[in-house]
Amino acid sequence: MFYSAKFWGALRGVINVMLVVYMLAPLVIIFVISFSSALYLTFPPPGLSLQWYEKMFSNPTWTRTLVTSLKIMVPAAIVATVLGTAAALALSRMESKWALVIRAVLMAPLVVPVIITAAAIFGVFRIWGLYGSLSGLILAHVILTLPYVLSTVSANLAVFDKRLEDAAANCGAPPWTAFRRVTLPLISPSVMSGMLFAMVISFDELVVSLFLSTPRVRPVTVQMWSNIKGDTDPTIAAIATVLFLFSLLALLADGLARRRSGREPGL
Amino acid sequence: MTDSLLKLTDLGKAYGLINAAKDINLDVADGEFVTFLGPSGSGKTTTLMMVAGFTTPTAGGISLNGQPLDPIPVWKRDIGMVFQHYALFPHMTVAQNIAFPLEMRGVAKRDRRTKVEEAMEMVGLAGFGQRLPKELSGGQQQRVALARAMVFKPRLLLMDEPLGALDKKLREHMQLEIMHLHKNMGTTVLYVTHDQEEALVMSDRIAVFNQGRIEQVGAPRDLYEAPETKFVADFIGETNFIAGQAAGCGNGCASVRGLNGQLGAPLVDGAAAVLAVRPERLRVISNTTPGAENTLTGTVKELIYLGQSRKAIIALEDGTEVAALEQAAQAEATALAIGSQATLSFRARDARILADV
Amino acid sequence: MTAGNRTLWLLIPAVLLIGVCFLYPVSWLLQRSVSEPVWGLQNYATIFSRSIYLGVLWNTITIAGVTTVLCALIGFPVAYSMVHARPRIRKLLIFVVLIPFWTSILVRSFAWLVILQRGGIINDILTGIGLIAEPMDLVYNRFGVLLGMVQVLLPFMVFPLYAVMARIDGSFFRAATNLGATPVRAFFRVYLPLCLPGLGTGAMLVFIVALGYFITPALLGGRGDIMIAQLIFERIDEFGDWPLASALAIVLLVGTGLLFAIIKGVSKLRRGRI
Repeated sequence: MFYSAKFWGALRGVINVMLVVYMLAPLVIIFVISFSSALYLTFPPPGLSLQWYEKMFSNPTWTRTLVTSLKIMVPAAIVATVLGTAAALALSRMESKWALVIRAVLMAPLVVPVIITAAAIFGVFRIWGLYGSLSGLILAHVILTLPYVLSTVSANLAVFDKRLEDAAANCGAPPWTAFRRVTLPLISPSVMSGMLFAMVISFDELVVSLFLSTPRVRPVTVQMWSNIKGDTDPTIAAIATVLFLFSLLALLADGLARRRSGREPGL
Repeated sequence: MTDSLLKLTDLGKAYGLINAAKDINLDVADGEFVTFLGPSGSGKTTTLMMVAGFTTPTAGGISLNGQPLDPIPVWKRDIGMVFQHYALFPHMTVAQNIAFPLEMRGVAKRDRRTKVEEAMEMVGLAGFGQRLPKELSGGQQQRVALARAMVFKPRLLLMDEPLGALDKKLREHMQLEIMHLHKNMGTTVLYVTHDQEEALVMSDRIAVFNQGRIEQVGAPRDLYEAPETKFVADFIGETNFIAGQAAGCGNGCASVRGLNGQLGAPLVDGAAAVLAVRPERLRVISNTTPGAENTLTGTVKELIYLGQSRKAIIALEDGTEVAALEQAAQAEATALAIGSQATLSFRARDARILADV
Repeated sequence: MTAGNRTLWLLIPAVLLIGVCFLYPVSWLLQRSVSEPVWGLQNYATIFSRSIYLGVLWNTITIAGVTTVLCALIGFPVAYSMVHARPRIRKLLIFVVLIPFWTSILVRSFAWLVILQRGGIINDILTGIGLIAEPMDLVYNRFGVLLGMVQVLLPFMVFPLYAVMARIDGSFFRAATNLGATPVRAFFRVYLPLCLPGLGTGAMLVFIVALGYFITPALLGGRGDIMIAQLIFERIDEFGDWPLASALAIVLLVGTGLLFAIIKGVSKLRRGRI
């Protein structure tokens, strides 16, 4: 039995199914429950309804926090994308050994446990009066998401043929034109990818937001956190589904962008 | 040369203590095809990059049409360039690639289109305008690169090993095409290659680079027949070297180990020198021939049949191996056998005496 | 070329931002940990002498360690299966394993809560079919924490393993058994050693990331499963105890930094050997 290909094939099949169940089942269950007609969290639901989505969108707590999340996400993702892309470009052209050090420093927020970043930023922002402000949260989210942009764009620049810029210059293009007409179009898929990453990270972020937010300025994840710790009703399932669908959409958009540019799917 | 288009004066590029190029002096006439030939790391590409403007010289200067080029940035130099691996813009079509330099020069859209059409016609790519570079073969990409570099009618065209990525047959074909284009357009060309055959075929003049310096500049024939340094004699074509000390230097002549030849460059008696003689200038003679000048005797080690010619490898008494190349008819007359003794002779004017470094 | 210097200014905004809003705050944390109430290492001494803090440190290390072992046990067959799957299925599996990277930990932890709690789906079903009389405690304990963390951290184990396994020749089993090795021997003598580099990298990554985990243990664990990140949060959020929280944060930072240095060193050694 040990030697038969059938046995190994079947075993691999079982492993695959178990993996899919373990990774996806919780999300699927949340998704289904969010459409439940029951008044409490139960599975399988007795019937389907949109009541929890109605509840969510009619409850100002949820709509306000959702809007706050977006108000943080959009500027944070844009700033992180611009700064991260600019830094990636500069680093890719740097020949000094300092480039490695600077890159490590810019990547540090990804490596340092978030709780440390959160505590440190909270401590300092409180002194600077940024605690509980939208701009404070945006700044913090830029710090957290910039490494993602930097690493995706850098990975693309590593395979970018720099002689194309030389060729553009030789054709008569000044540096900025060469960048706009040649470099930017060629790295734009990774810039997009980095921005999507930044958006998802910002939208899902909880730990730093937990420290920096106040009841007045509170992103949806923090609201969810306090509700989960209290009593839970299927509205949270609806919110979770919204968050999950947002991530899924970003993942699909990224996959599409990569496929169009012919790159391999990465992490 | 009075009507020189490009003038390199004491040009040099140093990276710290390392000289990538040093004391480069060269005048290129309008319409001339000049090749930079040399092994990798000899400074030929560095020099080309300084002309293009990608590398800033650390010494000397470049002038084009009498105007110093140094303060002019790359994008304003108006010099066309074909890059080593073409460097075509992968996100633009063939037509967009070729139109790019025109666009940068503010050429009106209609003019642009006709000029692009002309350029594509010129390189034999009419009808390929809407393709992307990755949909073309290597040879076709090469033509696009050529069209892009020439479409704005630059005064000077630089080519950095443009045929390096092509196979032998296509390379030979493209060599001829580039020569025709050069003749028809009258553009001045600076061409970089490490392939001596390519250089001999294509160039009006060749500058041989070695260790950051120009060893010798001249027409292909001059370089082959009258090398001034051992490096040039060795790098271009096949040469036999016989090492010894220079004697009887003067009047353009000298001798090494009793063999007479012409001085490639001034030497003093007693200096370490080599006598360089091409295999096809060596004749096999019977050792009874009286009065033969410059004779060498040795043992035949190998005989190589090459169809139209025969190559004989002969080991001299001191172990130096020399090759003699004879036309088939000649070879039949001088029957040689491996292991037998042979005597070779050459004319003093076919041999060069060069400093041994 | 001078191109590198001409674009250097592009770095300024990012470096400035990280410097002011990240490096400075972290150093501020370090300073507080050694300067309050007086200059000295008293806060660190407290952490390493009081049993509550030692208990939390122990929790952190054991939870991270067990998570690492579980990730290895699950990740190994998963990576193997991914390498040997047909391309289409492989793509699906990669997508499935990647989902945790993209979905909020909060959402996933909440999902586990719904499934595992006393009135949750599993208990509902098991009591419904009469398999158990009383609902089981599946969450707010070590089991819940591990279940949640393994799911989140699995990708860190699977991808390094996958990268290594993909390079091992698929016919090795046949070759090894052909030479007279039983499949079990072939596995332990040949395949496993070849996979060790990937396993090592994956284990280190999982362990390091697990050390700083906060949301999953906070939601799915009980009072006995408090990890260092939760303790930091509590000390600041509930007690405003900055000196101790800072010291805890620095302990975590140094621990993670040391482990990263080890990874770097090991991979350098390995590259040096090849």
